[in-house]
Amino acid sequence: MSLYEHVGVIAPGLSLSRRDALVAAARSLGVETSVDAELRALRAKLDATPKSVPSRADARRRVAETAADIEAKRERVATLRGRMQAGDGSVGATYREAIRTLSEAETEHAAAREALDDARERARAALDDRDRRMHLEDRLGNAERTARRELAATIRPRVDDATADAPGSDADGFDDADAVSAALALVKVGRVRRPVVLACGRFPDRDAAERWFGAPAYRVSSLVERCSDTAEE
Amino acid sequence: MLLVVTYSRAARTSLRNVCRTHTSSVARRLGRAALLEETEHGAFLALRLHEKHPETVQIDRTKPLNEFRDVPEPVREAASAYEDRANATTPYSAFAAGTPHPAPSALKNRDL
Repeated sequence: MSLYEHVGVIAPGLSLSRRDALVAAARSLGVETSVDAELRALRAKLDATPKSVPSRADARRRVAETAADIEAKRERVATLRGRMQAGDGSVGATYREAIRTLSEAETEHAAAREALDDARERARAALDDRDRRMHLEDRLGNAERTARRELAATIRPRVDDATADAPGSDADGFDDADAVSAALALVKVGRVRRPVVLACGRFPDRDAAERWFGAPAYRVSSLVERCSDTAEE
Repeated sequence: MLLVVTYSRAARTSLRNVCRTHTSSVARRLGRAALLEETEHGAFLALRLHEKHPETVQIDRTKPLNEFRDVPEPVREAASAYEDRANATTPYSAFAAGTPHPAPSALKNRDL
């Protein structure tokens, strides 16, 4: 989020994500950090589309189905063998046919298992790629945290001073200040290209606001009337 | 048990949430992986994660190892003797040379 998105409209009841806004103010000034080069390198690496991981579900299903098929055919062979052993001479041909289809099913099952092994092997290579990616993402997360910490630390003294100096502020620093004073300080220290909308009743007129900010501002007087009552709570 | 391994940050977060919510079906959490109980609920959780992250959740099934049944005696003896070696810096290949203990290449070529 840009600094403007944080502090573009300053009015009582403003909800300010202080740390995010502080970091955004530092970014608006182009403050550099010790991890900028690392961040660029990591983002470039993560920009590449990850290898797709082949699904092994079809191969697994085939293994399960062929295994069930074998089971059924084995039972049939066993039944026929039992009848032959009991002296039933009429099943000889059927028995041989059952043995043949069982053997076919076994071949099919072996092929299915082999295909699954191949699929697993291919997936392993793709997962190695995901593995490396996840480590890069973790490093990126760490570097981003470091960058935010440094950005906030670099700009904080100036923002603390500006907060203490803001009209209507009775806080010594950014963290203790009300949201409006904190936002005013961020606009003063940071760089916003579009004029911010002021409806906080802290300045007598637009010129006064622009002089304090050193930046363009709109002043919405109708809102000021309405808000200045609540602003001085 | 069911071993669930994640290969993306999003999948890892989902696994973490599942483990936090369903502690009774989780045997062990191992960072980006977890061992789930071998119940239908464990399978349900694992498959749900796989549905959510089809490419980056891998499910495997583990079984306990009984080394006295599953591992040949020379391998067990080699492991125990090597851990008992005099010099901590001796690699296993050097340790096994000229002894009845199996060479690393032999160990690698034989399936359990």
